[in-house]
Amino acid sequence: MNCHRWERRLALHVEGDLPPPRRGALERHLRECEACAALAEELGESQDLLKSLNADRVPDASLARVRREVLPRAAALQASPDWRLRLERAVMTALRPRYAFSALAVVLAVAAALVSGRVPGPAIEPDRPAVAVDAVPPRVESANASPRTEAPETTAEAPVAVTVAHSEAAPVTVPAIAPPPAEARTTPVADAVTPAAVDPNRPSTVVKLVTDDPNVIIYWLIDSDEGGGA
Amino acid sequence: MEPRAHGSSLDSRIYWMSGTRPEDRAPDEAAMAALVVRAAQGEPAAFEQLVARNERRVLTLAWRLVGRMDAAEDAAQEVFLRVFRYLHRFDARKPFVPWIMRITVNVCRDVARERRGYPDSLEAVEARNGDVAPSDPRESPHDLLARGERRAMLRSALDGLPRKERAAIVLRDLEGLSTREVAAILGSSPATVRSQVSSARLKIAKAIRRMKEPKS
Repeated sequence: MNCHRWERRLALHVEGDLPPPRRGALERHLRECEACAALAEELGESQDLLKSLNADRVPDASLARVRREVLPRAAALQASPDWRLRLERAVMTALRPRYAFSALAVVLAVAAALVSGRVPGPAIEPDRPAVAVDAVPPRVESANASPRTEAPETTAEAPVAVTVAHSEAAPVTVPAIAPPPAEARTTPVADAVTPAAVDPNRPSTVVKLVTDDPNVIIYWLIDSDEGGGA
Repeated sequence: MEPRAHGSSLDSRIYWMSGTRPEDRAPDEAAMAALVVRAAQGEPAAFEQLVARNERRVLTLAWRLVGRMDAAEDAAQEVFLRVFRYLHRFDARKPFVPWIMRITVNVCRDVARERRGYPDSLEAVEARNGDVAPSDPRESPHDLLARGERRAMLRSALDGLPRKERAAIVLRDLEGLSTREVAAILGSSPATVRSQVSSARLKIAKAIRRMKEPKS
């Protein structure tokens, strides 16, 4: 009998990870198949062996080395944090953490828009859209959108990634915005941009802000003539 | 065959960290949250306590993930520096341990990518540090030898796993987290974690079988 398909289930079953509906069939098979029963036994033993690694303890000298390195470097960072960190901490302290990413993103967007308004950007081929927005339907949110009711997963290690693209000459293509399903919309959307609001003949700047929350992408559409944002 | 129960309740299991003494386990979450808040406000003593409370679990996890103690030390340092830098982003209402474990996994991924080498055995680490891991004094020399061989065999089997499978089995079977918790830390789905864990368990069982077979 070819028992290959049972192996993976056995490996889950041995630690109680197999969902109940599949458990009965596997246990029936185990009563009939000696090879699988032997494999189950073997898996149990190897799991016991694996868990014996829990008895290993890292040496105290290694712990001391980590502490010796970390604490002075943290003190140095505390004494002179770089300006981005200082700004972020100020924003985070002033606001609740869950809104702070959005607020910080908006601040950076405005700063980027101001800079891009003064400095001419590189020429963009007319047949290419100013921003690659067609992969994901954008949900445009204004800076004063109401806060979420559900906090996103906190991720510390990834700083806020901001992607900025702008165009002086090319018309901006903004795909139609489908409203998110009611159960998925935890953030009230305000001031959504519609295609009708965009004049294709007017030079515009689009700022795309990608935060570390995959559910939050901010598009900032700036009319160069008026210097305002939509 | 009856499946084995996997430890305790979800909340306490998150703190059931291998390599920690019983008195180090299940630290008071409220005290930890208070430390986090104080450390985020720039209180050095609070950050120092935060390091002291978490250093063993971070270093143990890092060692299991990267396989070398020197690389694990580097990883642990980087973990605590990231914690220090981004502590203000942490929501103190949430448990701190999964957060720091997630950072550890991410840092170890980078460290393992940068430093590829042969893993350390615990004996090599102990010899270098002049530090001996405590063992049961009732163990006979024969038992000690068998324990050393077993550990070397297991570490070798773990080192042979692909990075993602290794992370999944270390978090699930050694750290004792639930599949859902492992998925949250690794940023994947429970189904993916189950698949990685089952594949890793089979590979380890087969590696051990091969190592036990007499060499011709």
